[in-house]
Amino acid sequence: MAVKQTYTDIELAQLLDLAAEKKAAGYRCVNTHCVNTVDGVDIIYTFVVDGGDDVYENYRIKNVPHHGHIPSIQGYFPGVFPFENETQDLYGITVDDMLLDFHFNFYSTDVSEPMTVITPEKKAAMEKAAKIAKAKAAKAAKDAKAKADAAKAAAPSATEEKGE
Amino acid sequence: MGSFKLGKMTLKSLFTKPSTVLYPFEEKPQPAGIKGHIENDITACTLCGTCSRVCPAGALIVDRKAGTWSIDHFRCVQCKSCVLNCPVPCLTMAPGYQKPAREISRETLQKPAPSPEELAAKEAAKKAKIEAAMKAKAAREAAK
Amino acid sequence: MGKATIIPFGPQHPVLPEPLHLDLVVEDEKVIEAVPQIGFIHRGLEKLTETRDYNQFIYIAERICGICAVGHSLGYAETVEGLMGLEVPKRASYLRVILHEMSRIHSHMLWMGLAADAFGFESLFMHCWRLRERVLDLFEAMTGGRVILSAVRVGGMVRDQDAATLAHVQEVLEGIKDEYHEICRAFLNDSSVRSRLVGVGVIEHDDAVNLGMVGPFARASNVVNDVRCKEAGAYAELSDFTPITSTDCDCYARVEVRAKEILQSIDIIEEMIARIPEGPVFEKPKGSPADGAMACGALEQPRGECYYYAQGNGTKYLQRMRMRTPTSMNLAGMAAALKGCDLADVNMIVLTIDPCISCTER
Repeated sequence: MAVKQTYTDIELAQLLDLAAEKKAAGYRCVNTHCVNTVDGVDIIYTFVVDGGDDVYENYRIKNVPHHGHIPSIQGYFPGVFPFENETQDLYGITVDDMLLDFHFNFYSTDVSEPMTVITPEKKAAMEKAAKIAKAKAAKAAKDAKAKADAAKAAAPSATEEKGE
Repeated sequence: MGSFKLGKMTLKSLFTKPSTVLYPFEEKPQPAGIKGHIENDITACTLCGTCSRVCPAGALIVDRKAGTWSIDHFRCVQCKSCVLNCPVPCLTMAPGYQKPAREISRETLQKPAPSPEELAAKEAAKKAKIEAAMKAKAAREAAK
Repeated sequence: MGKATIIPFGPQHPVLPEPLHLDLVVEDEKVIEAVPQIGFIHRGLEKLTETRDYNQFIYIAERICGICAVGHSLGYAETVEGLMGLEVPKRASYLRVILHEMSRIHSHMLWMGLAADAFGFESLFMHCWRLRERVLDLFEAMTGGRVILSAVRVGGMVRDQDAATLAHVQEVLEGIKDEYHEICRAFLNDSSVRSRLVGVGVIEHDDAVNLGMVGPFARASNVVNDVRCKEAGAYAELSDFTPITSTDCDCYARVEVRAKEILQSIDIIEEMIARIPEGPVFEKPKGSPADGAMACGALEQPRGECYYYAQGNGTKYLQRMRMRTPTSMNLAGMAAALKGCDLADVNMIVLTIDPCISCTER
């Protein structure tokens, strides 16, 4: 049994309006984090209001380009400064208009944007998974085609019988 | 009113034994199931390698060809994943932590070579299996 | 109108064993502003999901923090079980709640000892930790470890507890209660302790809501914010649960809330032990999380609400595991509480948010 949760995909342009709407409705921002993908960085914001339905609402902005810019929601939720600075340091996404901005020095890691680094083992694992997925899709297409051909072959014989 | 609310406890501790244990001269009694180090019954071990695959710390190395099972006690985090996933089971956790040492070392156990009786028994079992398979094949041919 | 000086506080400092740096802008013994800086213990643990599969990662999640170890392993396991759609046996979820509430007792007692040390009352510190030792001995008897338990795994628990052990747990906790009342009196009624705590580090209710504070830090400012009310896991089986709040909004209120939460936890454990069902405690997880599947979970750790998020990618390695710990949300509250306080009170105020910097930075 987990907490109640919802997931919605939104656009980057809708972010500030969403934050203003949630703030006015009495929500609090629970978390902000990023997921590194091949096409870019997905950023997920979570809001919840206590004492209401107790649903954790997750909003995802997909595929923000690497080294892109996003607006800050610290104007509405000042408590999220650690997460936005973490987004800057670990993922390389610049966050504009922060109230408390550490300018890429929050964690001071040796390697910049460490979470976007794809290690050789991970790369090999991703390529292997992609190969397996491709083979599976090819096999599924072949099976579907074989099924369609068999159905076609059965159909004309049925019309022949009817015709007789 | 006032202060020194801890008077009763302070007075009591003047007259009771200290709560601390004078280690290393006395040792605290250890309960059953306490975490310690991993031991392997190498004669029963099949060298399947499951333990080395589930270990989160990479402390176990199993070499099937050479017949060895080795553990780095310094790397072990006493999580018991190997004990829980061993299919035989031949692994157990015994009390006693790895004491500090000047060098990091691995403990390696060598699986003993099978004795002549065991080898003979294995050969006989193999022969019997092949004979049974041939008989079944012959029966299938006859049925056809 | 004095001249402002900047005093660097930490990362080695007298109040916590954890590295936290504060730049205190001070004018004549009054702190005008405090800028926190963390990052001394960032280990990049979230990136380890790439090399440790979802069964092995729980041992890393446990070791994020020594005090919150049970909480993190429990939250991680619940989130991954939600991701894979696993149903945990009922007895396992009751045992998890029992261990988690015992962890809350040990964490609050540790904190109360540190608070006593922060305002100089060392013998109270020693007595708190002496009582805490009994809880750690219980952990050792139940799971084999004192601090890092490794008792929870994805799918249930590592081992079952028999009725004799659970009866022993109840006995020890009742024994702690009597001595604990005396310690509580020393914290809440002693005049020298009160003079250090009352009126110090005030954060009003509206500021607490605005800054998004969580945990006993927020509940002391009358913000009703407790994940145990959201009825997830075995907490849904509790007959009734009201979070403990206080309207005083100062350090004294935070001590009071935590002191009362220990007694509330002892009651929760006794109720769980009385109602625990029989049955298995482990169900082996099969397969891997689906590609693109997402799950989130929340847990009321001793320090507040902890939020977890897991995303799968079709392999046995998770695509992303996020653990948002309560102290990260409370950092803004701490910076606000430090405004306008005396330099001698900085120790006390930093400690009353119950900081767990290792959790914050992972």
